[in-house]
Amino acid sequence: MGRPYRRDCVRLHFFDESVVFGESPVQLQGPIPRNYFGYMVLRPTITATLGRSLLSPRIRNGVKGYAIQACHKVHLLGDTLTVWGFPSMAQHADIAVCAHVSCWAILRHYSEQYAQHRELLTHDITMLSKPFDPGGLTPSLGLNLYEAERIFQAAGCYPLMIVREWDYEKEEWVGDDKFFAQMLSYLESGFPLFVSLQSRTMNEGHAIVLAGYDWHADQSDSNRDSSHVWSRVSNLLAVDDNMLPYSYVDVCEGNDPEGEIENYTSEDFNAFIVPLPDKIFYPAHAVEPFSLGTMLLVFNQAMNLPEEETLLRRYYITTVSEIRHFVRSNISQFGEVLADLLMHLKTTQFVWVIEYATDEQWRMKHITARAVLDASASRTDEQPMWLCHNDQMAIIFDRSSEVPKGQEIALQRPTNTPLSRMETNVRPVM
Amino acid sequence: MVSKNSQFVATGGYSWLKIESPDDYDRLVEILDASFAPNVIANQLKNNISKVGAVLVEHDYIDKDYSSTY
Repeated sequence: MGRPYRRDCVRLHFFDESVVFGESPVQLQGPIPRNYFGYMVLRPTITATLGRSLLSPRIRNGVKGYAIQACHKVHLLGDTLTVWGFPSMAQHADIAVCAHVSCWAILRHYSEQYAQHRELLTHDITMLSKPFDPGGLTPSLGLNLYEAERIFQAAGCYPLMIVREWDYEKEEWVGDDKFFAQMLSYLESGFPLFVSLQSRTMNEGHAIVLAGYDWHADQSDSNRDSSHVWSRVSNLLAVDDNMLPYSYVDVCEGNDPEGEIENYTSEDFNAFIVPLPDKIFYPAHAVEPFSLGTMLLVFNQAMNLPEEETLLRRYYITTVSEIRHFVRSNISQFGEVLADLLMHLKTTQFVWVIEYATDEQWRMKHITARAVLDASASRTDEQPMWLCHNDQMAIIFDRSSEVPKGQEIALQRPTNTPLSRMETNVRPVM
Repeated sequence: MVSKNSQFVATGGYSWLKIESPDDYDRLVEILDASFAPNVIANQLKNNISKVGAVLVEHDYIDKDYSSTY
């Protein structure tokens, strides 16, 4: 039998100074909705007492950039409060491990964000890790990557595992540009990532959730090894069960972490799992060669893409609804013809978006051109594109034909109005 | 009402803690039972969050995730 713990917890709610507590009757007064920063539950477990928490990244010291967040409802004293954030908790040392908590955090985010996912409690997650009742030794003996994959699958997701490639002869990682480009593309798509890592400083394995990133403030510092915008990322935002959420993970090639997390950097990552929704068959590792190969070989001239020395590429999954919402919110930059094309485009629910920019445009959050791909296309589909456009012209493709041919359409956009970058799957931390 | 001063109000199942400096989180030790490790939590809050002007402590809270493992 374990330690005797009491059944009740306490919950701490965080407000700014403008909210006032009234004693009789008990109530909160002031501009509460704007000034509520979330809560943390404390468990009576003597150690690792930080339980289910939902904190706004706005109150975390030094955090900036973009974070995956959902709007959570909180019922308190007859009020329904809301807070944007990502779930977190410390591992309940008696019954949970870091991998278990990471699965829980991702699935709790999904149940808040997407109606089709039901809420799964801590114990439910444990039960999903095996095809039989695992009893008390799971997950206290640890959860491996394949058990985490099984949990996501059993919870109704379609997990995709990406493993970093190690060259045993040279004793070094190979293909890192592709590994990290995939990682960022799924993160920019709004999918939190389950990351497995081996800390060199601690010489032990660990699991975290990646839930955000920040761009380099000084773009001249970033390297040009790849035209993918991974080279523009300065830090990743982690939900690590050993600390409060939204911790900075250094993105560096050196050995010494300089950020808040001292035990590991992105160099220690060895695999990640992205729990995808149904109907996404075209993976990031197919978008990478398409964005470089077909687009640069066939559509370079028509789209007037940037020269190789200044080219930057990013790609991410989104929904056609999000694209249309972005168009509606930024209608003046699209113009009537392009807006109509995107509103009438017959696509699947999920699409890949590729955006091209020069260094200069990247600094201004502008783009040269954009392509919209069918995320439900086969990986072997040579032409999965619905549409591409720059500031002058769009090319649309009829994917119902045997060999989709492009139809060029002049856009007649407003002059001197640049196209802006889309960042709709993640929320800025302000 | 259990106690009241300018920094701390306790009424029934709720305690209200004003935060005017990071050290105010240390008062969690006075409010919470030791089984919640309030000193550890206070240290985490002092060193990692800002912009907070007050904390409402909701006592006797039944948490579904904790209960699921009980």
